[in-house]
Amino acid sequence: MNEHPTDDLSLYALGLVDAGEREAIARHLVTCATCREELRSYQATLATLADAAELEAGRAVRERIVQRERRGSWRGLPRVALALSFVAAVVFAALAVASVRQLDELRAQRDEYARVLTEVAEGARIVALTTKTNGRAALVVPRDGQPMLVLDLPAPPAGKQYEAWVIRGGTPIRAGLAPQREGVVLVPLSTSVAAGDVAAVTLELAGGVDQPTSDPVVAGGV
Amino acid sequence: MSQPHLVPVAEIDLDRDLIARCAAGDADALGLLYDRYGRVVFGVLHALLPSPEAAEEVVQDAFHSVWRRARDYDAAKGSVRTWLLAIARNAAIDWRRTRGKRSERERPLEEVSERADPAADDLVERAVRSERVRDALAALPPEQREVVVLSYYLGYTQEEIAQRTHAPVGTVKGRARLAMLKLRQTLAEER
Repeated sequence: MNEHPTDDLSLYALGLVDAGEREAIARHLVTCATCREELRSYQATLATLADAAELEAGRAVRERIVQRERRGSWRGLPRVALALSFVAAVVFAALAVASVRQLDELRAQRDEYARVLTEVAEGARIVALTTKTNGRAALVVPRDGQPMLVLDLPAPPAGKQYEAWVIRGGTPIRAGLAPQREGVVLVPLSTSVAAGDVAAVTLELAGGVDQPTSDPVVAGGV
Repeated sequence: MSQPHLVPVAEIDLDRDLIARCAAGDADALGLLYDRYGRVVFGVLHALLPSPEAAEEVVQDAFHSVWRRARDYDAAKGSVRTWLLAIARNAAIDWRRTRGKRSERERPLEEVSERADPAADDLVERAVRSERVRDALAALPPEQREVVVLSYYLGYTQEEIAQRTHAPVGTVKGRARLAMLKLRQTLAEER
């Protein structure tokens, strides 16, 4: 966009633009101080409107909102992870080994996922990926440097290994192999990711393959 | 100039990170989102619902929905603020249809659903506590005021406003531009 989008800056501030317009204006703003200043003046106007509507809820409301999810963190987990906890519970019961220690381990593993994610994702963009069966997965895209997957999946069967792919324009690009161990693992991707790409994980023969041979167990758009 | 209630471009990433952290099961991130947007969400709910108690109940429902639906958030469709306000609006409508109905049984149903989504002027009356802003909005022609209120306080998209006001999208945008020019002038003059 070479011309200044002056007339549309107020609409941009209000959110009354479509995705294409928003992107074009955002691109223009990066290089144009005049339009940034104009946008700031509209944002200041809207800040005044926001101030006028704001109202503090009772003190306890915030606490209740956070505690509800913290207390119910099993419930609050994404559905697939919830399913995993049920599956885990059933398996434990069947084997009659559902000891407190093991449940604690399972819980610690969950915490491990959150901890690892928080650790590697500082200042990065996190894309939660969909897992087909059990587990959780996220794609972490740092501002600079290598993107990576954080996986919390069931241990792969003997002789198998999780392999990461970046699917660009329908073509899968090999992107890395997950360490063959249980628990939360990091998979640094050997290729960059861009908007429109799909990150995916398949279960393959240990050592990896040139082309995915099975349906993804994890996938998500970037 | 400090603009804590908006979403400056640099903070959009922060919002998206908070949503992603919610999706990953981090309840503290939900608390941080509440710190950023709880006041405006509660202010609007207070305007949409019959009592402060109902607004407190629904603000909790709304943030619970945010938690459960964090994975579905799609940045391409709009800012986190807009998404949050849309969730709050829907939570308010749900409340009116279920719990609200119980407390207002004597009211005709159509009146109840009508009030679930009050007219823009009604919303201004109930949400805007600053006389200066109220006057500035009142000085706008009604159709311009409506566009600003629906988009800003309720997070409606341009298509939704066009549908609701029975006007083409181009007209909606024209009204919004004029309204913003006037509001900027009025509110800046009085600073």
